[in-house]
Amino acid sequence: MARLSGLQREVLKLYRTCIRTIRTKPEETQLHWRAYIREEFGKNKAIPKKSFSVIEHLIRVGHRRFEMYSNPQIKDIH
Amino acid sequence: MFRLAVRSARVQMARAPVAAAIVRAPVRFYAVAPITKEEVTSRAFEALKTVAALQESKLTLEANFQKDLGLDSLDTVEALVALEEEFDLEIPDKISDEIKTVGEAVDYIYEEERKL
Repeated sequence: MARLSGLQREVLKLYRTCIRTIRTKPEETQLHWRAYIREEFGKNKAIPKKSFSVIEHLIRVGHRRFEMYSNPQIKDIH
Repeated sequence: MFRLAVRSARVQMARAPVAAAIVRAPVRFYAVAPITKEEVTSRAFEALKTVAALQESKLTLEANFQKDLGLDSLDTVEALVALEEEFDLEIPDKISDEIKTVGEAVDYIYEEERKL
Protein backbone atom coordinates (compact mmCIF):
# COMPACT_ATOMS: atom_id res chain seq x y z
CA MET A 1 0.00 0.00 0.00
CA ALA A 2 1.30 3.39 -0.90
CA ARG A 3 1.72 5.79 1.97
CA LEU A 4 -1.62 7.02 3.17
CA SER A 5 -2.57 10.66 3.24
CA GLY A 6 -3.76 12.22 6.46
CA LEU A 7 -7.33 12.14 5.24
CA GLN A 8 -7.18 8.44 4.35
CA ARG A 9 -5.73 7.75 7.76
CA GLU A 10 -8.62 9.60 9.31
CA VAL A 11 -11.13 7.47 7.42
CA LEU A 12 -9.41 4.30 8.59
CA LYS A 13 -9.41 5.64 12.12
CA LEU A 14 -13.16 6.19 11.99
CA TYR A 15 -13.63 2.73 10.53
CA ARG A 16 -11.49 1.21 13.27
CA THR A 17 -13.48 2.92 16.03
CA CYS A 18 -16.71 1.71 14.42
CA ILE A 19 -15.50 -1.89 14.16
CA ARG A 20 -14.22 -1.83 17.73
CA THR A 21 -17.58 -0.59 18.96
CA ILE A 22 -19.37 -3.58 17.41
CA ARG A 23 -18.21 -5.60 20.38
CA THR A 24 -20.40 -3.55 22.71
CA LYS A 25 -23.50 -4.64 20.79
CA PRO A 26 -25.44 -7.84 21.50
CA GLU A 27 -23.66 -10.84 20.04
CA GLU A 28 -26.43 -11.97 17.73
CA THR A 29 -26.57 -8.56 16.03
CA GLN A 30 -22.84 -8.10 15.58
CA LEU A 31 -22.86 -9.49 12.06
CA HIS A 32 -25.55 -7.01 11.04
CA TRP A 33 -23.47 -4.15 12.36
CA ARG A 34 -20.40 -5.33 10.52
CA ALA A 35 -22.29 -5.60 7.25
CA TYR A 36 -23.92 -2.24 7.78
CA ILE A 37 -20.67 -0.42 8.52
CA ARG A 38 -19.00 -1.99 5.49
CA GLU A 39 -21.90 -1.05 3.31
CA GLU A 40 -21.90 2.56 4.48
CA PHE A 41 -18.17 2.94 3.89
CA GLY A 42 -18.44 1.05 0.64
CA LYS A 43 -20.99 3.50 -0.72
CA ASN A 44 -18.32 6.18 -0.84
CA LYS A 45 -15.52 4.04 -2.12
CA ALA A 46 -15.46 5.65 -5.54
CA ILE A 47 -14.89 9.20 -4.36
CA PRO A 48 -11.70 10.53 -5.92
CA LYS A 49 -8.77 11.01 -3.59
CA LYS A 50 -8.55 14.71 -4.29
CA SER A 51 -12.07 15.76 -3.32
CA PHE A 52 -10.97 16.88 0.09
CA SER A 53 -14.04 18.84 1.10
CA VAL A 54 -16.40 15.99 0.21
CA ILE A 55 -14.37 13.52 2.21
CA GLU A 56 -14.01 15.90 5.14
CA HIS A 57 -17.75 16.36 5.13
CA LEU A 58 -18.35 12.62 5.05
CA ILE A 59 -15.94 12.05 7.91
CA ARG A 60 -17.85 14.59 9.99
CA VAL A 61 -21.15 12.94 9.11
CA GLY A 62 -19.62 9.58 9.91
CA HIS A 63 -18.52 10.72 13.35
CA ARG A 64 -21.98 12.07 14.12
CA ARG A 65 -23.65 8.88 13.03
CA PHE A 66 -21.12 6.82 14.94
CA GLU A 67 -21.98 8.74 18.10
CA MET A 68 -25.65 8.15 17.49
CA TYR A 69 -25.31 4.41 16.83
CA SER A 70 -22.84 3.82 19.63
CA ASN A 71 -25.64 4.57 22.09
CA PRO A 72 -26.12 1.31 23.99
CA GLN A 73 -29.88 1.58 23.67
CA ILE A 74 -29.60 1.00 19.96
CA LYS A 75 -29.18 -2.74 19.81
CA ASP A 76 -29.75 -3.89 16.26
CA ILE A 77 -29.69 -2.67 12.74
CA HIS A 78 -31.38 -4.17 9.73
CA MET B 1 1.28 -20.32 48.90
CA PHE B 2 4.76 -18.95 48.30
CA ARG B 3 5.30 -18.50 51.99
CA LEU B 4 4.25 -22.06 52.53
CA ALA B 5 6.79 -23.26 49.99
CA VAL B 6 9.53 -21.26 51.66
CA ARG B 7 8.57 -22.58 55.06
CA SER B 8 8.57 -26.18 53.97
CA ALA B 9 11.93 -25.69 52.35
CA ARG B 10 13.28 -24.31 55.63
CA VAL B 11 11.84 -27.19 57.59
CA GLN B 12 13.54 -29.63 55.32
CA MET B 13 16.83 -27.87 55.76
CA ALA B 14 16.50 -27.92 59.52
CA ARG B 15 15.73 -31.58 59.54
CA ALA B 16 18.63 -32.53 57.38
CA PRO B 17 21.58 -30.32 58.28
CA VAL B 18 23.83 -32.35 56.01
CA ALA B 19 21.57 -31.71 53.06
CA ALA B 20 21.56 -27.99 53.87
CA ALA B 21 25.11 -27.86 52.64
CA ILE B 22 23.83 -28.54 49.15
CA VAL B 23 23.01 -25.17 47.66
CA ARG B 24 19.41 -25.12 46.57
CA ALA B 25 18.80 -23.27 43.40
CA PRO B 26 15.97 -20.79 43.99
CA VAL B 27 12.84 -21.99 42.29
CA ARG B 28 10.56 -19.42 40.75
CA PHE B 29 6.90 -20.07 40.24
CA TYR B 30 4.99 -18.45 37.46
CA ALA B 31 1.22 -18.31 37.25
CA VAL B 32 1.38 -18.84 33.50
CA ALA B 33 4.32 -19.86 31.42
CA PRO B 34 5.55 -16.99 29.22
CA ILE B 35 3.91 -17.00 25.83
CA THR B 36 5.97 -18.33 22.95
CA LYS B 37 6.15 -16.95 19.49
CA GLU B 38 4.68 -20.13 18.03
CA GLU B 39 1.68 -19.75 20.27
CA VAL B 40 1.17 -16.14 19.21
CA THR B 41 1.46 -17.19 15.60
CA SER B 42 -1.02 -20.03 15.78
CA ARG B 43 -3.54 -18.00 17.74
CA ALA B 44 -3.13 -15.12 15.31
CA PHE B 45 -3.75 -17.45 12.35
CA GLU B 46 -6.89 -18.82 13.99
CA ALA B 47 -8.17 -15.30 14.60
CA LEU B 48 -7.36 -14.21 11.08
CA LYS B 49 -9.30 -17.10 9.60
CA THR B 50 -12.47 -15.53 10.98
CA VAL B 51 -11.99 -12.54 8.70
CA ALA B 52 -14.36 -13.28 5.87
CA ALA B 53 -12.53 -11.79 2.94
CA LEU B 54 -9.22 -13.44 3.72
CA GLN B 55 -7.81 -16.18 1.50
CA GLU B 56 -6.83 -18.79 4.05
CA SER B 57 -4.57 -20.86 1.85
CA LYS B 58 -2.10 -17.99 1.46
CA LEU B 59 -1.82 -17.30 5.16
CA THR B 60 1.88 -17.17 6.10
CA LEU B 61 4.03 -14.93 8.24
CA GLU B 62 5.41 -13.16 5.19
CA ALA B 63 2.02 -12.57 3.63
CA ASN B 64 1.19 -8.95 2.98
CA PHE B 65 -2.39 -8.21 3.97
CA GLN B 66 -3.16 -6.35 0.79
CA LYS B 67 -0.86 -7.81 -1.84
CA ASP B 68 -0.98 -11.50 -0.88
CA LEU B 69 -4.18 -11.94 1.06
CA GLY B 70 -6.33 -9.88 -1.26
CA LEU B 71 -7.67 -7.50 1.39
CA ASP B 72 -8.43 -3.83 0.92
CA SER B 73 -7.49 -1.25 3.52
CA LEU B 74 -10.80 -1.64 5.35
CA ASP B 75 -10.37 -5.44 5.49
CA THR B 76 -6.88 -4.91 6.89
CA VAL B 77 -8.32 -2.78 9.66
CA GLU B 78 -10.84 -5.53 10.35
CA ALA B 79 -8.12 -8.17 10.47
CA LEU B 80 -6.13 -6.13 12.97
CA VAL B 81 -9.19 -5.56 15.13
CA ALA B 82 -9.80 -9.34 15.06
CA LEU B 83 -6.25 -9.80 16.35
CA GLU B 84 -6.81 -7.17 19.03
CA GLU B 85 -9.86 -9.05 20.20
CA GLU B 86 -8.03 -12.37 20.27
CA PHE B 87 -5.14 -11.02 22.34
CA ASP B 88 -7.18 -8.54 24.31
CA LEU B 89 -5.02 -5.53 23.56
CA GLU B 90 -5.36 -2.35 21.61
CA ILE B 91 -2.94 -1.59 18.81
CA PRO B 92 -2.47 2.20 18.63
CA ASP B 93 -3.54 3.83 15.36
CA LYS B 94 -0.02 4.88 14.44
CA ILE B 95 1.28 1.32 14.65
CA SER B 96 -1.77 -0.18 12.94
CA ASP B 97 -1.14 2.05 9.96
CA GLU B 98 2.42 0.77 9.71
CA ILE B 99 1.60 -2.95 9.90
CA LYS B 100 1.61 -4.42 6.42
CA THR B 101 2.28 -8.12 6.88
CA VAL B 102 1.06 -10.88 9.17
CA GLY B 103 4.60 -11.26 10.50
CA GLU B 104 4.79 -7.62 11.56
CA ALA B 105 1.51 -7.96 13.42
CA VAL B 106 2.70 -11.14 15.16
CA ASP B 107 6.00 -9.47 16.12
CA TYR B 108 4.21 -6.51 17.62
CA ILE B 109 1.78 -8.68 19.59
CA TYR B 110 4.61 -10.88 20.83
CA GLU B 111 6.55 -7.86 22.09
CA GLU B 112 3.46 -6.52 23.83
CA GLU B 113 2.65 -9.86 25.45
CA ARG B 114 6.18 -10.17 26.78
CA LYS B 115 5.93 -6.79 28.49
CA LEU B 116 3.01 -7.99 30.62
